[in-house]
Amino acid sequence: MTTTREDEERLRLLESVILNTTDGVLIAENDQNLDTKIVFVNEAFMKMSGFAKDEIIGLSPLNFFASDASVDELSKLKDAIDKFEPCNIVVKTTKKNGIKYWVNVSIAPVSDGSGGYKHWVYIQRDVNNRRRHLQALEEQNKKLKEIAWIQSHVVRAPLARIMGLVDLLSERHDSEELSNNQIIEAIASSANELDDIIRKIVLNTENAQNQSSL
Amino acid sequence: MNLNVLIVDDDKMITLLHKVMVVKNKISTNPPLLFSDGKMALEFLSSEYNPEERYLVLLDINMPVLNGWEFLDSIQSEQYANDLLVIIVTSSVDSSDKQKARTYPQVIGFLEKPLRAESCDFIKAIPSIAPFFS
Repeated sequence: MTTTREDEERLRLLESVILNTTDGVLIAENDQNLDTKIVFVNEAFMKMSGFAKDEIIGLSPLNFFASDASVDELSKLKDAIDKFEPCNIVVKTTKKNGIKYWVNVSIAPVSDGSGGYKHWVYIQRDVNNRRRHLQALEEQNKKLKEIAWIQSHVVRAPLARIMGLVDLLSERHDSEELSNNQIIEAIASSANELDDIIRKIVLNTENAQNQSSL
Repeated sequence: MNLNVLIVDDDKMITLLHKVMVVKNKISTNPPLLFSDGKMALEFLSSEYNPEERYLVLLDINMPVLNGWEFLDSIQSEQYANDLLVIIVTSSVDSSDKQKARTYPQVIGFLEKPLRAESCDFIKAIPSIAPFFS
């Protein structure tokens, strides 16, 4: 097979994509035992993971995941490898210094041109910041739901009492159950309870804000 | 046929206020019965339920021991399940509570606390109990 200058130019361009991208790229090869071993690693993967080339080549791409990485996500990846199918997961992985970080991993089998598959392209993108933002948002949503529940069930309870008591006063029903003095006392204590609840909510919200700005 | 009203709420002042409203607006034939949680109301029904009479439960949601939802879940297997009438009376203005209430066949209404003259008019106009007030 002869390669023309055009082919060489094209290959050089394609190679520069892998070399210059900020995504970590691995190429792995299945050996005779169908074990997947890394045969190529780009600069970005080394920078991202903290491992040197000779610490990566020859290992399986699965070696780098964190010990507490999601079992479900990893089994999706392993299934895809067994079936020679592409796959995309978000999973926790570990740097050489032990620090864990979130990556989006996509793998794709490379056809050898005769219907077989021997190579894998493995691309990982650092999604740590995105993940952290997402978690902070989820946390805030949970807080908002809690606040809505408190507003609805706790804050409205003494308020409903006040409204009912004022109704009773304004309609001046002669009720044996409550004298006017008792009604006024009950309004005052309900108003104080309402005040306490609102102060607590404000305090909690401030605490939550301080936590999220840390 | 008598209509007995059960007021189930852990807020004593509210049960008192609602009792005044129920009596004043003549919703109950007999004096309304007050319970501070779902369990006490359930126990009353198990021992005192009389098939010759009708029972309307004004039910709060947020209560200790047995809350409004748990009370509704518990009555489903009782012999009086089909004859019991329930109106949720809650301080909640949360629409998801309203939706959940609709899933129980006994629930014929959903009112916000406190019960007012208009709430009592609303109760009297509900078709399944309107005959008691005509």
